[in-house]
Amino acid sequence: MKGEKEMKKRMFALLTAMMMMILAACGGEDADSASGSGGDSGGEIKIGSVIDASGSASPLGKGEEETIKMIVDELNEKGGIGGKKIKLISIDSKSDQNQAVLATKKLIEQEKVTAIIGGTISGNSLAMIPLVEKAGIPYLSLAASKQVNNPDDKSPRKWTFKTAQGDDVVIPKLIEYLEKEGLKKVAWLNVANSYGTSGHEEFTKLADKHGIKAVIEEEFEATVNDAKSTLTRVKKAKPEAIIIWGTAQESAVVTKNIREIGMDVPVIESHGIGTKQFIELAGDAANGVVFPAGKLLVLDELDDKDPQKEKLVAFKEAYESKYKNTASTFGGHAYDAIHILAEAIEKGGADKEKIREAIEQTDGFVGISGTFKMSADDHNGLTSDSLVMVKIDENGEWKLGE
Amino acid sequence: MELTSQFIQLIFSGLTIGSIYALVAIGFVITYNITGVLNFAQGDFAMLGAMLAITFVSMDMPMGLGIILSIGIVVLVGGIFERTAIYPARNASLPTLIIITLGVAIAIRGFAILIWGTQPRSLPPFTENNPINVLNAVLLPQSIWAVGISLVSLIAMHYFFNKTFIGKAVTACVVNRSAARLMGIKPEWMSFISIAVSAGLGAIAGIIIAPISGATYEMGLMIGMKAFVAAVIGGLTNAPAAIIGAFMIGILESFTEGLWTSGYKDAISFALLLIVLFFMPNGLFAKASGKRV
Amino acid sequence: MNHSKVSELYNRHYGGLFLFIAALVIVPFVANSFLLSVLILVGLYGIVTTGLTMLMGYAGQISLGHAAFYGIGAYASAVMTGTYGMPGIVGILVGVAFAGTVAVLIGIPTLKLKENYLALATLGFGIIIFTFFKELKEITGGLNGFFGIPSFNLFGFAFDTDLKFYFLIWALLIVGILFSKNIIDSRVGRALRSIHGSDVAANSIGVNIQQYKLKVFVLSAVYASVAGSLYAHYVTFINPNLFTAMESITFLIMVVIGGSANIWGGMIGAIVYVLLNELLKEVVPMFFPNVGGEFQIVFFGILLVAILIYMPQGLAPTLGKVWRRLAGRKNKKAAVTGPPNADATVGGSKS
Repeated sequence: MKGEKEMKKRMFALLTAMMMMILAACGGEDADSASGSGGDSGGEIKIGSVIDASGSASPLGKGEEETIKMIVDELNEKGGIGGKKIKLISIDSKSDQNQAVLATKKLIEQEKVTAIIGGTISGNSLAMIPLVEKAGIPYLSLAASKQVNNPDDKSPRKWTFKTAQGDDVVIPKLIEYLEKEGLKKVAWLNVANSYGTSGHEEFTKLADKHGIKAVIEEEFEATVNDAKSTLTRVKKAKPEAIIIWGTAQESAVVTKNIREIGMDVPVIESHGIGTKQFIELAGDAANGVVFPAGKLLVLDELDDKDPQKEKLVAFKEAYESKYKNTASTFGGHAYDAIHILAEAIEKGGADKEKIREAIEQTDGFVGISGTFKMSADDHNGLTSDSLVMVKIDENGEWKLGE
Repeated sequence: MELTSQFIQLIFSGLTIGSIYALVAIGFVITYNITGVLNFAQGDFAMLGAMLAITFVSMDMPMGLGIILSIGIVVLVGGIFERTAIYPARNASLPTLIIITLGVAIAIRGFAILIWGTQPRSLPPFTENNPINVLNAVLLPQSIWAVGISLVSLIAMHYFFNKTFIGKAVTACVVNRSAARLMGIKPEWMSFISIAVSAGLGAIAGIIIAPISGATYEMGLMIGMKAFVAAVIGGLTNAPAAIIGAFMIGILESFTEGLWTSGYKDAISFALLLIVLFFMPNGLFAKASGKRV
Repeated sequence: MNHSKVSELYNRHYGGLFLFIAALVIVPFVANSFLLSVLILVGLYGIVTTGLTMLMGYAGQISLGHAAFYGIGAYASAVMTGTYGMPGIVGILVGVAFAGTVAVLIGIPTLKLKENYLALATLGFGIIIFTFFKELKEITGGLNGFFGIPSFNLFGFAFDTDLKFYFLIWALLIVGILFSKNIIDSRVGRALRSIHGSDVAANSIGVNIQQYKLKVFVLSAVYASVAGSLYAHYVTFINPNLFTAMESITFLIMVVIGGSANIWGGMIGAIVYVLLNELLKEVVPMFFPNVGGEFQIVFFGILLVAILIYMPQGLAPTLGKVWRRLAGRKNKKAAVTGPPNADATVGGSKS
């Protein structure tokens, strides 16, 4: 029948049309971006960012994205880098790995950026790395996992750098504290996600060497409502201290539960709780909690001679006046990344290999997370000296804990 | 002795969580019975309730008033949801209706981020929250509130559907739609009422849990899923069975965590779901009788 | 009336298909690499949704757990090729065997029950499998993810560039769709369509419904597993969060958007879903420059609801109707030369 045949043809016509629409939608800017070769078209330098400004990781990502925008504006007001304006192409990866991969491809292939900053959570960052390594684009990751810059499988990390303190920096600080306080039998509790488990792995590796023993090791869900069931087992193990490795919300629930079931041992937590929300959520139970963190949290107590102090004050004031929001250490990772990159571009121009070399030679850059000293073997450049132990006092304020 | 206290502790935890699941599960059952829709936005009503209550309380509104106001608003949201999304599509296929509720859930979550952001928020406990010691186990006043409020709500629901005129009309529609119509009852309005009421129950659940675990824009997802398991265990159409199912899930989870590991907690709940589906497809407590609210 | 519509949809005419394939072949040579990777993702989704479309349209069942089958394929390939250094085809086959077996185990008890029960069971199953991905750390790498999956290699031929991968995926998708179509047009398929109408009727004419439903369910699981395997090879890094219940729901959303009354609906849904997301990313910031991704989420949710209320059968039939109306104004001859015209219409309205 002729009618059917036409119907059929229409179907495929529609399909074909749809393909064209995708072509139009995704390839729209292809024409204009193709005019300039490389990211330095028309006296500007294109930098891309792939950050989880929405979705589950947005409590971290939002501050990162805002910080990068703020710094880029600042740099451009001062006339850009080496006379060239920075054009920031910021893509929200929505806490989704596929979005992060697509965004990275878009930045590399379509926008042809000179460098990329981003990867708020480790999973996204790890998915981005094979792409940037293949394309040969300087990449500064904001994610914490040790795998980002120092992978177990020894896959290449020539172009990948990291500005967040990894577990390999934070856990030694924790161990050092435990040793100093003479806490040998501890309970270890971590949130069941990559943040918690990679912290756990690093802890297991180091604890033995320092004679610290985990008498019980448990996980809790990021969506935990009540951890008292798990804690009944922890209580039985009679630890001298409890270590909780998680981020604000779930850690707050567990911290409250510890006090509620009547345990009064010291509670030590991770740098993931360094937000006011933790104190708000945990209430009085937060008092006395100790955790390693960047110096930003205890800015007022820092010695004026501390090399970071000036930078920290400047960042905090600029960010908080612009966004009416508390500056976070996560925003700090972004601050360090964009500044390290800017310095490298200053030295290396628009040449990607030269920028990469310049980043690798970063030595003594004083940033928010610490003083960076990178090398061919160390693409992070931070040590545990960049951290302090912070204690939440009886008024729910952050105080230096050592 | 220590074993007893641990046992009691696990029961307390299980009952607290179970009472939250029960409220949301009943919402599932009411909605499913009357409209035939599996409403996957049910958990998000809990989130809305919690977020609104937190907002009102932080505006220095008396807590009771804030709570009632937020429940009222969520009931309204539920009603609007029924009118704008469910009612126009009432003749669509079941999968389409399911996806519609998922679409609404996505939109509600998106709005929640726009209004309240992604940071977790907290609500103070309803009363002074000093732990009470029961045989060396700890009972928190907020847990008593949780179980108490949910039981009162559930009894009120029972009264509403069996004793009041509107409630009886709704129940009549479940039993026989066309007969009810002949009696002058409009089934369309019953769909409206049932979803609005379910939304209100969800809001109560969210408000109860907010002081215990805090609230985030995505909290509805997991609460909804678990309540859903409870409803299925109860056979989807049997309200008392769903309540028992909810407390079972709560206690099962608490014992899994307390005696084994939290990693497999969700898997255990959903394994129970599969077992019930495979071997007792009409629910754990199936009776020969027809649908009940 | 219903009958003629059905036969209209399922009659074979390959003219349009060739045109579509020609377009598929040309696209990568005019598109940039970013678009190519978007299309690869669309193709992978399309393979999964084609299976789901069959399940929904021809067996009247929905699955809320297909991300688990997708994940089974992905992890099977990751472990086989990444950990044990086996050839890519082994990974795919292991995934297929695993996914198929699991589908049989779930399908047998639930498919004889009421219409929603497969949905409920697959939801539960999906979460259980997700827990295993997360907890079997020695095998899967747990939440840290699985690194270093090699690129796909078939009998010595490496699919190591996006272009090669694009052709692999889309060839597979088209083959998958044609294979499904064959099943639908076979005696089995007619039986399947009959059960979509009425179980009792199908029974009375001696059609073994459960067996057919089961076959379709298993086949859809196999499609998802194969797509998952190839996805793992494509991105080289996977972690359990890619295979959550939300991902299963996303697949289902694609099918519902596309419409399950036509086997091409799954692919159309995948295309539209990705297109819509990319479009929102471009359009929303134009109107609301200072809001983040959440605004897109709200828009997406509302759009989804609107599509379903106004086009409960999905986009495929509605778009067909619109096109018929447009073409109807012209004479028969214009309608026959429809396809190139369609491009012009859409292209024109865009610019």
